[in-house]
Amino acid sequence: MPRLRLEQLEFASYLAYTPRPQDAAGRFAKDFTLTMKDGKAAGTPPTSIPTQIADHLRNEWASLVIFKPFLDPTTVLVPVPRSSIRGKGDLWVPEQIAKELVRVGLGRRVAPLLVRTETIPKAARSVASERPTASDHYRTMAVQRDLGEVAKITLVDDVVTTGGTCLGSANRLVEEYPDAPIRAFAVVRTQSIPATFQRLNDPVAGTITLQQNGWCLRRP
Amino acid sequence: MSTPSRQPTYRMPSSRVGLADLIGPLTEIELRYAPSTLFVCGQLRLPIRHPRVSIVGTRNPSDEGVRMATDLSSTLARQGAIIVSGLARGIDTAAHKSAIAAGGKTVAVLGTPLSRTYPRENAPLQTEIMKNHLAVSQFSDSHTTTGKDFVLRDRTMALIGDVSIIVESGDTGGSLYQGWEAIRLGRPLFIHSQEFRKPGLDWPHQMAKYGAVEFKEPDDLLDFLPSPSLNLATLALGTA
Repeated sequence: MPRLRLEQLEFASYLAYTPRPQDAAGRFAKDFTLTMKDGKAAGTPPTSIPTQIADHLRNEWASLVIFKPFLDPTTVLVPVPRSSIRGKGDLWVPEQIAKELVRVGLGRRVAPLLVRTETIPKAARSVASERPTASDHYRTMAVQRDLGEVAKITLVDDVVTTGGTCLGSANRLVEEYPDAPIRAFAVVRTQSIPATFQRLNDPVAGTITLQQNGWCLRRP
Repeated sequence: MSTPSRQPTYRMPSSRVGLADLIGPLTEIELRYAPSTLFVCGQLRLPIRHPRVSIVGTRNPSDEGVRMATDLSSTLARQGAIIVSGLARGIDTAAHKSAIAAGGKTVAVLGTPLSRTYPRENAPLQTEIMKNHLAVSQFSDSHTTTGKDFVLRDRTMALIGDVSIIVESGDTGGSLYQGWEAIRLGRPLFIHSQEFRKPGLDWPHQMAKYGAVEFKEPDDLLDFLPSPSLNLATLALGTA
């Protein structure tokens, strides 16, 4: 197992959902999250979920002080790779989100610097014991440098569960960009225990920490 | 392929609709292989409610394949899922019949016009679906069916399903077109675990590289199904 240089990563997320909802608010949050992951349009008039999210972030920006270190006009947004190899033209939701964030001025540019070189099980579709570790993610990604300046990086993902994908991604990037601060922003964080879910709109900032057993601990 | 029967089916008035009428607004990625027009016949209200689970597989299934298709379809139908399949012999037939037997609803996506049936032996099943469920075709009554139509139909089924499940298939089965389209669309694609263990079978491993997921039991899918109350027209931030 490769030793990871970064053992902790700051992250922020805007929304929350639970995969096994117990009430109407939980079902709405799950439906919203699944619709985003499927790349479907929703609302009236139909609008992509990444567009809805970016517009809401922009409109509520004054109250989202905790996001300021993560999203600003100087930050390069790096979409997190899918867990599987991506075919040409296949849906890549984190890239759509990053593009929308740049559109509303919450990022300098989108730089798809990370590529998946080998498929690993999807975190959200794995039982906890089979979920890939941050090292697994690190081992199965590569960096494709581009010609643009990269002074400050925020990884962008659709859903963060334990944070292993983000921490593995950050460890790949830090090798190529050792002087750039790296953080992670996910639209939705998973709350695996249904009773802990309170509402969809639940912005938080916290940390993803590598544990001794190789898995990550996300707080909150 | 033998000629589709002209004498099937319960004659009911069909309607001509767009795919968006059937499943809600479409994105650019979804529009790529989406048929511009669909013909529908049946009782289900449009757009078809969620969750929509597409269960497909070989025309020549094993006993385990039929058992799994039956178990999946009846379990998910009892939990409110609409079972979508292609009216083909084998896995598709098991999926439709089990959904009906469980008191659920099913959608047949045909590779023929609504006025014809393939295979002929499924004429009574198609009639039942057109009476009490929903049959969908992208082919007008004047269309002459060719083998390619079933590939087009398989892609349409991937679009209609919130998730797609391949229960059993050989390396050249038509279900694989649906599987690859589901992957392209970013929709969850599940493959029955027995397929990964069959010697010499390559497609499950290839699709897994691109994100398909192995499942063992119907319960494995529940986390990935939207709720029956999902309404894309009203799903927007700030409306919870």
